[in-house]
Amino acid sequence: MDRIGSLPDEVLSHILSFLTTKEAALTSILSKRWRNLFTLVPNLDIDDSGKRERDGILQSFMDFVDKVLASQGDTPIKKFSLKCKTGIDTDRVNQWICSSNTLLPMLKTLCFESKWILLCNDLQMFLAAFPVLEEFHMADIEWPQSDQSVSSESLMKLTIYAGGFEDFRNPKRISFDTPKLVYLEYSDFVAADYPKVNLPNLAEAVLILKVTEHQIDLIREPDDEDDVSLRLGNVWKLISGLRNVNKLFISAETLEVLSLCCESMPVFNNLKSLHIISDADLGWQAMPALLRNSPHLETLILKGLLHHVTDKCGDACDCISREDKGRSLSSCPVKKLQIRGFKGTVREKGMIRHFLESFPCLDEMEVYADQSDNDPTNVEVNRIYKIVAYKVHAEDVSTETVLQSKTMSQTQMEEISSQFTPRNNRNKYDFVYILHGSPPPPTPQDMSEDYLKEQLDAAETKLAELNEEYKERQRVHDAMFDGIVEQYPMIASALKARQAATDSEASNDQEKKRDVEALLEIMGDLYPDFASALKAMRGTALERGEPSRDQGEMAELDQPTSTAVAADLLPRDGD
Amino acid sequence: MSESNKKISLISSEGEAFEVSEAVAREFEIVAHMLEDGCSGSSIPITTVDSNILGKVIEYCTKHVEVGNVEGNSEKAEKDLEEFDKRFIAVEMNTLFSLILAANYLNVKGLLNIGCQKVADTIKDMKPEEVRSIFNIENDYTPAEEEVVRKENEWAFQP
Repeated sequence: MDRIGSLPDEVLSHILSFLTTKEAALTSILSKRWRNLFTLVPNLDIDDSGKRERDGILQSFMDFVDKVLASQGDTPIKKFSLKCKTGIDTDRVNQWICSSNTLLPMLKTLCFESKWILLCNDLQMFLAAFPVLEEFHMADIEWPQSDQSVSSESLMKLTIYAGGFEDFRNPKRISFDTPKLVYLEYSDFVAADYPKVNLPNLAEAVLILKVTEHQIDLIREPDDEDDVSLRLGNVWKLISGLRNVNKLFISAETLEVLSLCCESMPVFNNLKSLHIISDADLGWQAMPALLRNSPHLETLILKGLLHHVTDKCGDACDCISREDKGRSLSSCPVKKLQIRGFKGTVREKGMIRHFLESFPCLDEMEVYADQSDNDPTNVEVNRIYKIVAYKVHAEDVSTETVLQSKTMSQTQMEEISSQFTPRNNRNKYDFVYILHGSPPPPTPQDMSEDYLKEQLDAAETKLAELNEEYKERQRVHDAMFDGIVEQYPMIASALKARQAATDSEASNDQEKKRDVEALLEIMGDLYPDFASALKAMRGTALERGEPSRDQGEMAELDQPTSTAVAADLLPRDGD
Repeated sequence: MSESNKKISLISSEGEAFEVSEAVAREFEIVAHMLEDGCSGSSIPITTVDSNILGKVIEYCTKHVEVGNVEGNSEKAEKDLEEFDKRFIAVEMNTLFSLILAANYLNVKGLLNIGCQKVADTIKDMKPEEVRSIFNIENDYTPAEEEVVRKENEWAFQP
C-alpha cells in the first residue's frame, strides 16, 4: 500500500510547502507521480548562502527559477524568498526581482537578502505592484535613491536592514505609509526627514538606527544648532509614528539619537514591554523621558547597564548626584525588570540598588551574568548564572534575605546582596542565587503542580517522539530485509531452511524472525562482491575500536548499514 | 443566545455519535458551512472518518477552542498550545496520514498545518530511497527515466 499516495495532490504539495525549494525538488525522483508535484508548491524559497557551485549547476538552477516564474498556471507564487551570497548571476537575479512584480501578482511574502540585489526602481512603484503582499523582508541592501517611501495597503510585517545610500549615508527622506503594518524591524542610518509615518496598527517595533561618530559628537556637543537639526532633527517624526506599539526594542545608538527628541517624545500609551541595549560608549540621556512616557509599562529588559556618563545623564541612573534622583522611575509602573550582561562592577551594583529602591511596583528582577566575559579575576560573576529578586510584600511574614546555594558560602552571597539591597525601607526583596553547574533551585511559583505537569508532559512528548523514530527505523529496516528476501527466491529458501533448523533446536516460535546474520552469510555465498564489501566494512568497524564485541552483536549493530550495502550492491529487478 | 450550550452530534463512519458543543463543531469548516447554509439538524454524518480519528480531531478542536476562550496571559496559553500540538502530532505514520486526510476533508486548517509540517520534518533530511521506503512509494521510473529527472533538476541533487 502506498500510504502517502492516499493523500491528494493538494495535500502533498502543502507538505512540500514546508520545505525549501531545493528540498522539495529532491522528491521529484521518488516516482512519476512526484515528478512535477513540487512545482505546484506556491513558494520559491531559495537559499544559496552555501558554497560556490559549478557553472553548469548554477545554470540549471537559474533555468529552473526562470521556468517556475514563467509557468505558474493555477498556482500563483505566494512566497518568494531569495538569499544569495555567492556566484549567482547578478543581472539575472535583479531581473527576477524587478520583473517579479509583473510575474507575481498574488505574492504574500517577499524576502531577499543579498548584496547583489539592486532595487531596480523606486521602492514605492515596486511595492505598488504587489497588491496582496503581507510580509516584506529585505536585508543587505543599499538604497538606489535618496528618497524612499514604503507604501502598501496590505503589508503587515516589514523588515529592512539597509546600509544607507551610497556615499552619502543618510537617505534624505524616507516615509512609511503602511496602515495595516503590525511588525516593523528597521535598521538604517538616520534620515534627514521622515515626511510621513503612518503606522496606526503597529504592535511591535525593532529600531536599530545608525549614526556616524561625527554625528554622535554633534548630538552631545552641538557646535552649530542648525547642523544637528538639519541632519538629525526630524527623527522625532519616526519615533512619534511608533507611539501605538506595545513592544519596543531599541539599540544603544538609537537611544543616543533619542536624546534629540526628549522634548517631543510621544506618550507610548500601549507600551507593555521595552527592551533596550546599552553600550559603554553611548549615553542614556533619553532614558528618563522614555520611562516617563510609558505609563503602562510592565516589563523592562536592559541588556547592559554601563553607558557613557555625561552631565545630561538624567535621573534614571544614579551617575550624578541630584535631588530628583529616580524621579522618572518612581512614576513608572514596571513590574518585571530583567538585566542581561551583568559584569559585577560597583557601578552596576549601585544602579541595581537604585532600581530596586525607586521602581515602586517592581515585583521581580532577574539579573543574568555576562556570559562572554572570561575575566578570571572576576570570580564572583563567573560563577553566577543569574540572580533573582522577589519583592517581599507587607503581608508576607519573612522579611529576611533568603540565599540558596551550596557552592557559594552564605557570607559571600550576603556580601553581594548587601550591595544591591535597597537602603530605603520602602521595598524589600528576597534574593535567590543560581550558579553555574548547579541545578536551578525551584522558585516559589515554579514548584506548583502546573510546573511539574509541564515538565512531565515535555518528557512524555520527547519519549513519544523517540519511540516513533525508533519504530520508523525498525520499519524501514524490516522493509529492506523483506525486500531483499522477496526479490531473491534463492535467498528466501536458504533462509527458510536455516530457520527451520534453528527453530526445531530452540523451539523458538516467534512469528517471523529476521535473522540478519544468516541473510548476510547466504548473500555472501551467492555474491562474492558483497562478501568482500561487507568484510571491508566490518574491518573499519573493528578499527573504530570495538574489537571486544562478538560477531553476533556486531551483526546486530551493523544491521541497517549492512542491509543498506546489500540494497546498493544487489542488481535491481529489470536490470 | 444559547449558542455556546447547543450540542451537535457528529456521526463517524461506523455510526458512532460524538456529542460536541457547537463551538467545537464549528472548528470543522465543513460543518460551519453546513450550519451557515441552514442545515439545522443536530446530527451530522462524517462518513469518511472513522471513530478513532474523529475522536482525535475532536480532541484537537476542543483544546483549541478552550484555549481560545481564555482571556489574558496569551503568551503562556500560546506556549501551552504549542506543547499540546507537539504531543498531539507525535503519532505513528498511519495515524498521521489519517489525521491529515481527515483534517483536509473536514477543513481543520490548524491540524492540517501541523500534520503536514510533521511529515515535512520527517522527510527533510532523508535520502529519496528512505522516503520511498517510509511512505511505501513504488519507484515506477526506469533507470533511464530516473537519470532524466536527475538531470532536469540537477541543481537540487548536488550535495
